Amino acid sequence: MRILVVEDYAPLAQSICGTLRENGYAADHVADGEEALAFGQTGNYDAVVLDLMLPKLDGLSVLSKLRAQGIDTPVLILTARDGVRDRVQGLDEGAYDYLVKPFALAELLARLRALIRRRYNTARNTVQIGDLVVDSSARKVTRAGQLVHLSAREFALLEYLASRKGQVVTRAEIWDHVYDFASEPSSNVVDVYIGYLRKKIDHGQASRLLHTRRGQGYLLGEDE
Amino acid sequence: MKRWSLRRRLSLAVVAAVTIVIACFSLVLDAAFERSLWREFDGRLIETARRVAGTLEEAEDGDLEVEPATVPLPEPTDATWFEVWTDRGEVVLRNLPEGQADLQRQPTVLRPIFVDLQSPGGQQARSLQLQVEPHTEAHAEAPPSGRMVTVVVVRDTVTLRQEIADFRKLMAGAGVAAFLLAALLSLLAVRGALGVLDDIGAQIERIDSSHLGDRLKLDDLPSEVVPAGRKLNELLQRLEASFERERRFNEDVSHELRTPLSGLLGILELAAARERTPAEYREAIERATQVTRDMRRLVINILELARAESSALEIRKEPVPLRELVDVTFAAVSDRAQARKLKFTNQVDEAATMQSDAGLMRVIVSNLVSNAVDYTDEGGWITAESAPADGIVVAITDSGPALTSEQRERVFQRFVRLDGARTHGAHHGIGLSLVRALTEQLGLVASAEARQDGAISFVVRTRAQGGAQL
Repeated sequence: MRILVVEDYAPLAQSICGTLRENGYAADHVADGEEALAFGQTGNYDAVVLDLMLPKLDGLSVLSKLRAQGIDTPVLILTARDGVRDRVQGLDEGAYDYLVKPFALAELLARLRALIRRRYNTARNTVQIGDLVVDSSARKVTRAGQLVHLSAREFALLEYLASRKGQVVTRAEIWDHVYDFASEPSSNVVDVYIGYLRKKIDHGQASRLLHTRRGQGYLLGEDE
Repeated sequence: MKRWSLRRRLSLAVVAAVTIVIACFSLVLDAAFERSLWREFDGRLIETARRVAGTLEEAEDGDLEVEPATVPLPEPTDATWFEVWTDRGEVVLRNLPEGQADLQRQPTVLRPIFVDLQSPGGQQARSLQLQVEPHTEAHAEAPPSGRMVTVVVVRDTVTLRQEIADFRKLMAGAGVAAFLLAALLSLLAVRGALGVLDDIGAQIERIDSSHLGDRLKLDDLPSEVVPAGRKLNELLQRLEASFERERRFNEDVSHELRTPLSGLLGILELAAARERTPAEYREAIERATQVTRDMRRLVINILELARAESSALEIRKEPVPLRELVDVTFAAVSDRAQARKLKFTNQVDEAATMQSDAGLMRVIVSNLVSNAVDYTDEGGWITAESAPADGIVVAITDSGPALTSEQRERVFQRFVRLDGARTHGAHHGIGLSLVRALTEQLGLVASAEARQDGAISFVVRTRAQGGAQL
């Protein structure tokens, strides 16, 4: 899952991005409203964390411009004002949720999970494909009751495929949603991680869940 | 001390005035009326006396004869009595009953004499005594003898006194009625006029901290109260503005503190999320320390600003060496200047001093210098100058970026940051508003001025020579 973090106070932005990456998200950071608009317009993000007081273009304007362009990425607003007016205004402009500073990073993560879940129309934090269970909140994966140990990147990849279970996901989509600009660009990095993932979840199992559709992409689902 | 209401004071004053006016008016009216009645009475006495005398005629032999009266003479039943004597004391004519004693006579003098006495009827009466020369026969040839007769007319004054008493009763009744009516009307008038004060009071009472936008309606006020009302409205205006400033200040302070606090919390939570290498911990601690320093500086600036604006500032003036002041303040930020490749020149004269508060001047100059260090484009230059003779205490000029004239004024407002991203939150938009507040307290003026090639100069001047150019 790829998150755009828009925050002009560098120490806070660093902590948010740091904690997102350690939790398997891809995170891009921008520090002003104009950049936020440019990045947000790509539509590649699964969620945007948006501070309201920004240089050049304020957060609410960024939000209303994105919505005006039909970009419906879930937006979590960060505000230092606890006035009701600000919150209502933010939600009116199309924000999905808001957090008042100072907040705990754990709460930020929980809110983001909820936003992304809503985006992919799943009511719960766990996704089940056959005997594979992916638990986003506990960051735990089991196959046939056995715990599968995954790296953060592998988990992020599996989580994205699971959110779109039964659909063919292209390599470009994986690149857009699982990797951020900090990642080393490499043509086969997606294939390499798919290989790691396949080894960990399908190896030694009776049925295979991770399928390759040649020339199209990958699909997570039970045998058809 | 007893507090009398305005209504009570005015009412009493009006009622007292009305009482005095009515009383005086009644007394004057009564005196005039009584006097005129007495005059009329006396006039009738004189007329009666002349009529009586007119019936006497001096014959040629000097005897007095009584002619038949053309107008009937009064009878005792008219409560009027008369008697006429010759100069020898003989009674010539009278209307008193037989056997009745003569009327009372006064010493003989020419002018008429009025005397209050008892009438023959035993009532209070008034008498007139008149010396008259009887007329002679129309065809008489001898000259008149010049003999005089004395006429005395007495008339009861009972009716007159009764009239006067009746009139007084009427006057008293009318006076009391007029008094009551006047008092009632004036009380109503006072109440009506002062009712406006009640309205004003009620209007003012409705104004509290949540209704500071309310104003007294000046159009409805009586003219005497308009200046007070206008003053009150001005006061409310200022109060509302200051409440609004306070509210915004609190909001801004809370915003400026919440963001770094969130950053600090984030750094610590992230570091504690899992086991890390000593290098990672060290980095987290360094970053947390930097954020805490920012917050400390913000808090100090906020407190300084509050103190400067509360005018509770204690100012101790002494000679302040300006060059040394600039050097000391720059030393504190020289690391940052070096990191941003800024060239700093102190052109302040060794001898330049200023009579001012050293501590406050340091706060002012250090804010200007540190501002320049953080905002000047990387690789630029910063210059400090001073020209006390021209009223320029200190001028910190940097190579830019340039600011528009609107921005140059806006930077002195609280919590205005023109570009927050560039300085990583080190500035809180409070430094320059602190500079402005402190310079004002010291009787100085701070301003931002555009220089050639996009350079910008922050100048502190003495007030007297505020117009001097660098």
